[in-house]
Amino acid sequence: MISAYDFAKAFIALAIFFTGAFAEDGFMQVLTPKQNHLQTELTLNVVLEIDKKRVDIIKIMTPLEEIEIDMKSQKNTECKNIQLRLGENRVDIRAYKENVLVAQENRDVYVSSELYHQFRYPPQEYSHTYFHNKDNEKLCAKCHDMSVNEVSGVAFEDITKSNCYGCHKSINKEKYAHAPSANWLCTSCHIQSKKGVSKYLTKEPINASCFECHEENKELWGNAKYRHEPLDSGHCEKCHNPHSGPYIMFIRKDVNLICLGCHKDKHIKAQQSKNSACSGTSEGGLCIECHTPHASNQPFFLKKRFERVVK
Amino acid sequence: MKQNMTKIIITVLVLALSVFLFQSYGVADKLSRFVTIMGNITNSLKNAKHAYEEVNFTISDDELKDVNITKLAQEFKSSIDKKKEALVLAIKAPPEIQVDEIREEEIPTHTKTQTIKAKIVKMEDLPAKFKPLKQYLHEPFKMGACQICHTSKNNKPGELVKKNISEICYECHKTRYTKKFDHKPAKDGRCMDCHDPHQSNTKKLLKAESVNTLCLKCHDRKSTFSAKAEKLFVNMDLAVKHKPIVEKSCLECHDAHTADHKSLLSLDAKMDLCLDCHDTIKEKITHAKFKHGGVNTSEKRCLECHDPHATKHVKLLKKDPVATCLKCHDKEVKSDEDGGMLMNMKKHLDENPNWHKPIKDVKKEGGCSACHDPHGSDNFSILRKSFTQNFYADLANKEFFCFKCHTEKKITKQFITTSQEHNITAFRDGEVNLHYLHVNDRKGRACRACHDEHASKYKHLIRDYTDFNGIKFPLRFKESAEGGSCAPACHKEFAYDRVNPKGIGK
Repeated sequence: MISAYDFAKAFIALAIFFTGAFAEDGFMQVLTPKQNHLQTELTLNVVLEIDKKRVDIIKIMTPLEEIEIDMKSQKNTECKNIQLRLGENRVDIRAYKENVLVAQENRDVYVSSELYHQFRYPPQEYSHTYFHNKDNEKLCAKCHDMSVNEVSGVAFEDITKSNCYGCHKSINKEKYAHAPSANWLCTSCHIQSKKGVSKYLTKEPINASCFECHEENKELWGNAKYRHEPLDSGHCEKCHNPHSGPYIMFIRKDVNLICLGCHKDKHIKAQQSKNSACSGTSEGGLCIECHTPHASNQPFFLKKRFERVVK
Repeated sequence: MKQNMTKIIITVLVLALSVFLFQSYGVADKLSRFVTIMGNITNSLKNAKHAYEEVNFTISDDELKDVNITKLAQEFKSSIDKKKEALVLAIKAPPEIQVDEIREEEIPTHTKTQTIKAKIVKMEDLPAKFKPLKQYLHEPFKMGACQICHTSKNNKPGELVKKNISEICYECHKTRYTKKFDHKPAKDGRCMDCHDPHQSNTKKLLKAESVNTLCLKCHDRKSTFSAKAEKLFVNMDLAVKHKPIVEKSCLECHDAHTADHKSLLSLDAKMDLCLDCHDTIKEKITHAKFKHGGVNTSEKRCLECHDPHATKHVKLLKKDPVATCLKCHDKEVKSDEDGGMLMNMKKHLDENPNWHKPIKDVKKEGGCSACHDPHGSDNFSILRKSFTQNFYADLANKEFFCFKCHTEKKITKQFITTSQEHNITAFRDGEVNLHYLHVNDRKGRACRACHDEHASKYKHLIRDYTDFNGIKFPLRFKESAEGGSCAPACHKEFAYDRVNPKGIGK
């Protein structure tokens, strides 16, 4: 016989269990990234909603780094910029209270790249998710000014005044920076808006934005007889990082490696070749000494007629 | 029969021969012309009015008696009086005369027959105040024909024939001063304000030593015009005067009596009159590729900037050279060249304390016109020499305007090694000339990519913003004791130091 007391006990236990479960959820909530997030940049913003009374330290572990965040401020949201590697990344976020793990969440993030064969095609479960939609921005608006404060045609005297700078500053930290990016004129490219998805998408393909400034190249390359595939398809960003990079002209890899990322067969051929100019390493010679990376009137994107190149 | 046949043959032959001759010498033509001429003569004789038979004119003695010669004389006199009356009326209200009517001064001739009737005053009888005689004498005065103007009815000396002096003058000087605009004294008939009726040491019997002194008797700042009529003054105390005022006379431009254009000018004062003498400027204004709106489309044309008489400033400018330009360029002005808006230069100069030397040192360098030709030029922005509008420039073309004053070595010398060369440029990292690096290496950047040619907040006229592809990028220039740093759109923050090089360009 189940007495009323037992029923009450069970109800209370259930209630405690459920509230406990809710409570565990209440320690920390990962607002972004979403599970199975796919992106091409190597940096990522992690946004957490934390119950500061119940959590005093947050640890974010990525394959590259381990970040500890002290809960000093009274805000109940924390933003952190993390570094990722190409391919799969598991972002492990743990909340501690007095050195006791109280909550843990994992996010799988994939960074794809056109330049590496192995990272070009991400596993099916990953998909692009975008941050700047109305719902997300409402959350951020508590602390951040989410409006665009660029003055059309005038760059910031002090770039830290840009509203974008606060969260995205890491994209311009490399040695060589693209002028619109380094000056935080983000909306010169990020202008497309897709309702419910994002406000700041780029044009697809991106070259329409590029040629707005690099007009003379449009004419020069457009009229050429042979055009390199990324140029022809309008994906300048395949080789160039439109924000900043450690290499000149913001190319994503060292000059020869960027070519060999796609032209793998040439790498092997070049290594076997006795011609030192084509040894395929930057010590030997540069691909771009003979080939132009964009467009040419000579076959194989040679800079001059074949006889003249070979001498 | 045979005889008859021969006769017929002979007559036929003779006829044929005569016809041949007749035709070959054109006898028929000549005959017909003779006939028409004779006909004409007879016709004209017939129709002529002076033909003898029509002359039938005689005057009888009775008829001759009826012709009253005295009556004729009276009629003649009254007609003259009427004309005179009309003249008096004409003086009071000058009739409208076509503007383009050419005035030819009628110089009156005083024939002896006219003067014989008058009572001649001999030279020695002249009142003492006329002696000694001056260089130029009024013709009646010279002849002693005082009676032409003065009456001797009363014993009052100097009593005139008519009350109104101008009437007496116009009696002989028949020209009416009736173009579109009249000189006030001439209009009012105050001839005596300027001319002496008897004698003078100046041509045209003027009451002063020269034309200009005469004009300035009234048109001087010290004179008695009302304050409203300020433009009637010519302040001769000012240092810079228009050449004709000093060397020639006011009459170079103005007519003393009447003219078709305002201010008694023969041509339009705004521009046409000026360009009549200033040929080279006329050439510039009319043929320059780029024209200055200040001259070509403004309201006052030349007079927008220049004063035609005298000023304190060079080139007869109304204000000092920079202030003259800023009179219009104190707001955004529409450019005549491309229809774009020109910057508010006054605001720019007010906001930026470091000025380009020609603007700063106006007296020595000449202000805006050191670089711009205010009358028009074949170079954009009416510059005196070619310059680039672009961010990038091919400086192999060393005809650049900046090098007129600044040394070319600034950009051509890659390394500045000796201390003697240090004055070439201070923009160097150790020995590396950073001007060379920016301008001569690969893509040459134009001077104005970094420097503002007018004024700047920063030293060395460094711009605060540079325009690249329509976007203004800040240069973020900072100066240190022996160098400085820039963080423009082109590169991240790079510092340079003249003493302890930071290694730029290596």
